[in-house]
This record gives sequence, C-alpha cells and structure tokens, in this order.
Amino acid sequence: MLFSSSEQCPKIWNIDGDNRCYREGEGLVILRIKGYQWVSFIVLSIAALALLFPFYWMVLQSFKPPTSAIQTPPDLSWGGFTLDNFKKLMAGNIWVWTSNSLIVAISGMLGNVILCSMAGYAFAKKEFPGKRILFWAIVSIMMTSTQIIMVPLFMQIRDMGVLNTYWALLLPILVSPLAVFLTKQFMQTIPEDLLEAARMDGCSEWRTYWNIIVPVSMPVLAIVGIFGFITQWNDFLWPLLATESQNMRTLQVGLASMQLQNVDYGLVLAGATWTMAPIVILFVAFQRFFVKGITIGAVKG
Amino acid sequence: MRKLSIILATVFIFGMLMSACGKNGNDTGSATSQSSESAKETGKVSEIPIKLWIYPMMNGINGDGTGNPDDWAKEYARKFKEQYPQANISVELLDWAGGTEKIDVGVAAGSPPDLVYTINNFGGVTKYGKMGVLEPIDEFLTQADWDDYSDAVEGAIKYKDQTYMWPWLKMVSAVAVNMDLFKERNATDLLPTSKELRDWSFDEFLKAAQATTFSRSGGNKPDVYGTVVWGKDAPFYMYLNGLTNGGNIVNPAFDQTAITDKAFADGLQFTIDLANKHKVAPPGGAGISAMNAKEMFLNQQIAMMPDAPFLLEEVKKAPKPFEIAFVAPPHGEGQETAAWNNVGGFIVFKQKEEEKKKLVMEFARFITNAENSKIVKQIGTFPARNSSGNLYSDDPVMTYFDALSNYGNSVFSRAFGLVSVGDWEKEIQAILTGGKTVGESLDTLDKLIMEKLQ
Repeated sequence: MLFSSSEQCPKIWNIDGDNRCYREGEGLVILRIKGYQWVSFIVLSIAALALLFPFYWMVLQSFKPPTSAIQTPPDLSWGGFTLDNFKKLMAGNIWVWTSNSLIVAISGMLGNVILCSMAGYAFAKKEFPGKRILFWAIVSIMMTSTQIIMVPLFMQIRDMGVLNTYWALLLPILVSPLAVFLTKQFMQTIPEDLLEAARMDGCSEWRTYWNIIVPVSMPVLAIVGIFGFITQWNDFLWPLLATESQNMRTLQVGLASMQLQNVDYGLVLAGATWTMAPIVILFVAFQRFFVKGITIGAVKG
Repeated sequence: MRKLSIILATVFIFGMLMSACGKNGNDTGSATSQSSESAKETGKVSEIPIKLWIYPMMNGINGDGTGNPDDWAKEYARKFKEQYPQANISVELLDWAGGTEKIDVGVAAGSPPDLVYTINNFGGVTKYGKMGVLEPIDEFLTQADWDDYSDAVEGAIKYKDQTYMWPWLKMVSAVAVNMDLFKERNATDLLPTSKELRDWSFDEFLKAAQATTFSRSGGNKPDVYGTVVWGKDAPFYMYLNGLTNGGNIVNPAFDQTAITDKAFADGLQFTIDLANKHKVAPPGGAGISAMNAKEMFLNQQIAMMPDAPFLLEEVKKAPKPFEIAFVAPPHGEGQETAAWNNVGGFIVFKQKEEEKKKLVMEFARFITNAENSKIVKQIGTFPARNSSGNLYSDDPVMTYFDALSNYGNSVFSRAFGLVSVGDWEKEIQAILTGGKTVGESLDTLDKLIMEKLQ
C-alpha cells in the first residue's frame, strides 16, 4: 500500500524519521512515496529488472536444450523444458565437487568467524606491544592482490607436503585480513563499561569474550561468516593451484574442467545455476546482514 | 550461548577431521611418492613418478564422448606402464580458463609437471623455451621422426635452434560459409567452390560479402552480414589476412619481427575495411567476441566466418540447421592462399634425473606415435605424423582441410604466443574504434614482439 502524501497517513498511525507510516506493535511498515520519489521508484525498479533478467534467462535456459541458449532473439518462452543439461552435469563428479566446496566454504566461514573475531577483539580492546604496527600490517595485506602471493603461497603449501588435500584448500583461508579489520572496527564500538562490569562480576578473559563480546558482535560475525562463505564458494584460482586430482576439485574448478573446446551452453548454464543456488539461498536468508555489511567498518564519529 | 558454542566447536572439529582424512585415495600423484618409498623398502623395482597435465579435449577412453575428459590419457598411461612397469603416471586435468596460469605458477615455484599439452598459439614453446625450463628433445628425435613431420609442423615445435615439442596434432582453419544464405541471395556463383583448392582473392571475398549483407526484415539497416570482424577473445583470426597477403608476424628464423611490413599491414587493413569501410560486418566489432561471432553465424546472421572443421557439428545443432561449406581464406593479389595451422603437442619440463628424463621422453613419444595419434580424429584435427595415414578418406570436408593444411604456416600461429592475448585484443580494438591506425597498432605490437625475441 503506497501513500502519495503525509496527509494520507492514517492519524492513528505513526510517521518515523524516514517519513514512513507504521502502526505500533504490528511491525508493519508501509512506504509513503512523495511525488518525486515515484521517479526513483520506477528507475530503480527498471534497474532491478535489468539486473535480474540475466539470472532469469540463465535459470530458464538451463532447463532447455543447448541450442535455445544461442537463439536470437532470446528464447524466453515457457515450455520445451528438459533435464538433459542437469543429467549431463550429474554424470560428472558434481557431488564430490559440491561436497568439497561445502567443506571448504563452511570451514572457511567458521575459521573466519572464530579466529578473526578473536584477533579483532584483541586489536579492539587489548593493549600489547606492536599493536599498531601489526594492525597496519594486516590492513596492508588487504591491499595486496591475491595473484601476487600465489607463487610463495603455493611453495609454502607444497613444502608442507599437503598439496591436493583439504589442508591445502583450508589453511590459507582460515583467517582473512578483511574479517579481522571488520571485527576490530565493530568491537571498538562496544562500551568499555560493559567489559568492566563483566570483569567486576568475576568473568575470566575467555568468558568475557565468549559471553559478552560474541553475543554483542553477532551482526558483524554474521557478515564475516557470509562474506567468508561466498568468497570461498566462488574462489577459482587457489583451488585450481592447490589440487591435482578430480576428487579434490571444488565445484568451480571441476565445472571448468568439464568444458571441452566446443562450449556446451546447456552444461555451462546448468552448472552456473547449480553453483548459484546456495548463494541465493544464503542471500535470501541473511539479506539484512548483507545490507549491514555495507556500512560496518565505515568511518565512525 | 553454551549451546551455540558446542555446535560451533563440533562443526569446526568435524571440519578439521574431514581435512585430516582428506588425503585422497585416488591421488595418484601423492600415491606415487608413497609407493616409491615402499618399493625401496621392499626391494622391488623403484617407481618413477611422472606428472602429465592435459586439457579437456575429448571424453572417454577412445575419445568417443562416453566418459571423462581425462580417460584417454589415463588409458595411455596404463598402456605405457605395461611396457615400462617402473612408470607411475599421474594425469591431471587442467581447464582452458586457468590452465596456463597453473603451469606458470608451477614453473615459478620450481615444480612444473613433467609433461604438459600445449598448443602453438598459447606460445608455450617460445615462452618456456626462452626461460630455459624446457628439456630439448632433439637427441630423442630420429631422422625418421623428422621425415614424418610436415614443414608446417616442423616450424611449430622449435624455439631458436632447439626443438621442444613432441607434435601430436594439427588444426587447420578455413572460411565457413552458410550456403543457405548464399542461395537466398542467388550468390553461390560468387563462391570459389568450383576450384580445387577453393581459393579466392580479397576482391572476390568482398563481392561475396557485399552480396550477402542485407536486411531480411526489409529495414534500412542490414540484419544479415556477409562476414564478421571481432576484437575480443583472442582475435587471432583477424590478423590472418596479413598472412594471406604475403606477410607474417615474424620471419621464418623466428628472430625478427615482420609485422610492420607493407604486405602484412595491407592485409590487416583489408580486414578492418570490411567492417569500417565496406560495412559488410556487424558494427561494433571491437566489442564482439569470438563466441558472439559464432553465435551470430549459428543464428544465420553472418554468411561467412573463419573457423575450424568442428564448426560443422555445431551447425547441425544450431537453432535452425543449415547447409555449410568451407572455402580457403581469401588472399591478396598475386599471392597464393595460406591457412592457419595450429600445432598441438607435449612439452617436457627440465628433469633432474637422467633416467626419469628418458622415461618421460619415451612416454611423450608413446602418446605421439603414429598409432596413438589417431585419436585426434575424435576432435576433428589431423595427426602431426604423416605416417598416421589419411584418417578422413571417406570424409570430403576433412579431405579438403587436409589439402588446405599444406598451405598452413605455423610460424604465424606460434608468433601469437609472443605477446599477451590482451595486447592482440587491445590493438585490433583500437583500430576498429578509430583510436589508432593500422600502422600505429602494428608499431606497438612490433615493439612488444621484439622485446620477447631479444
């Protein structure tokens, strides 16, 4: 339900700071759009449709014969669906690759959440020698291109003798400088009084961290976890370098190796749809955290 | 909170346990060293691990499409082991998108594969040959081998005066023609199909392209074009007219550039004119990729485009299949035709142990011998060895490509590996958008190529 002017907002309802109508206790928020806002509403809607269209096309074509994907104008009709592309996809090691990707993405996510939040806590609330230098060193790693560190990282992992194992895939991703930075920035905003109160109540350092800091930091930990999952799920170069056998490949690398010289569009689109599905589910489930993630770490007063 | 911490700890420990168990049983590479050690302990024949890296080219043991992309290589490894029990070969499947990067990292880290497939225009022979990380294979090649390779193949396997590639296959490209469009325009007589080699001049090609550039919908602007000029996704074909006009990118000795020669520049100018002056190619060529071009051809929006014989199979699966023919690339006045030969084969990286080197070379010879090379028929290419015989005697299309391959020039395709794909793209895009003249772009490429040759 949309309102074109504030007069139309029923008197028994409230108007919030953003000019929105809402009814106390019902949690229902109704947008009240002014005249000029219609323009942005329409423009943004068109932009959203334009962004969604390729995804719609991809999913649609993944259920159609490969020839349909290259048709001009694009074949957007409903009907003529087939599961052939997915059958072809399932003929490969898709389940092994998917489970490898899940292991890597979930482990990376947990590693980021647990280890980086500890580091972030130390940087935010503890004093120790070399703290500033260490923090800026971590920040500077964020600005280093991944490709630059690939060769030394590869050599390190090779010399450890763990190439082509889960260790090779996991060790470099368990800690992320960005996650340390984000958690540190967030935890800095937690009032000192809260920690002091905990200590006065006899909380140990671990208990303070686990029972006070972690619950309060849930929003940033959710962001770190989600970003960690997505980054590892989509990663291509490192899993390609670190694995040798088909059974250790992740989904992204495995799907690429299914492509012969002649592109099979049906297979490509079915693979893309399969790969995208977990990310879409994750986004739908945690979209409010995604929005928060954009502002966390921003300059604070 | 306690519940959450228990869940998190359990998942994390489970993940770590999975990781610990992650040493894959099928990992033949790592199994190699273990088996080698155990062999030493038991006093059996010590196994020699060999790493072979390949790209996905064909599925199945015989390449017939039923199976996995590494099956055929694993089958060769198995057969080779029957003859050489000490060989413990692991096959790793690269992918076309990141394979070269993986090789580069392996080389930079000092642990490249022993044997890897590469193809001419990837520039592996030149790049790694210059770096000194390849084993020369001259001492392993006999006179009988040299006699078995055509001139076009011989030109592809060397860097300077040493040979580095065990040639396996050659790909030949021609101009694919949509015969239905030519029939629709009553223009089939403009094609050189009656000639034995189906060769034709730039002028004849232009006339054919003009005849098939039209508006099917009856509008002012054409919606079907005679040909296509593209600037993205390795637009190597776009430089082909430089070759067919009598030029080349480098000299036959492969030590000087020739790209700024008038013959090459004029040939490239003809390509650009097709789009910018004669308007017989879709506008916006700088933004068109090879993939887009093929899609337009398969959608019958393009009458002629350069491509390899496997396009035939794709046309059969097109939205509306059509009759296709292949003719020679057009050539400049007074020139004979020239085809683009791309030679694929195996390069051997530096070996520390003499015994292993010999075994790796023997394996390379085994894969590329006359009999085993016949498998390349499955991907519409020709074996590099003449002694493999004519695999396509019952196939008129491939017989034609075989004839055309005699006019191939592998120096041309090998030269593409000297400069990054991005630079070839950037320069053709600059010309197509009017940002640079042909001369200016070729000058830039000339400098880049010289840097690599020095």
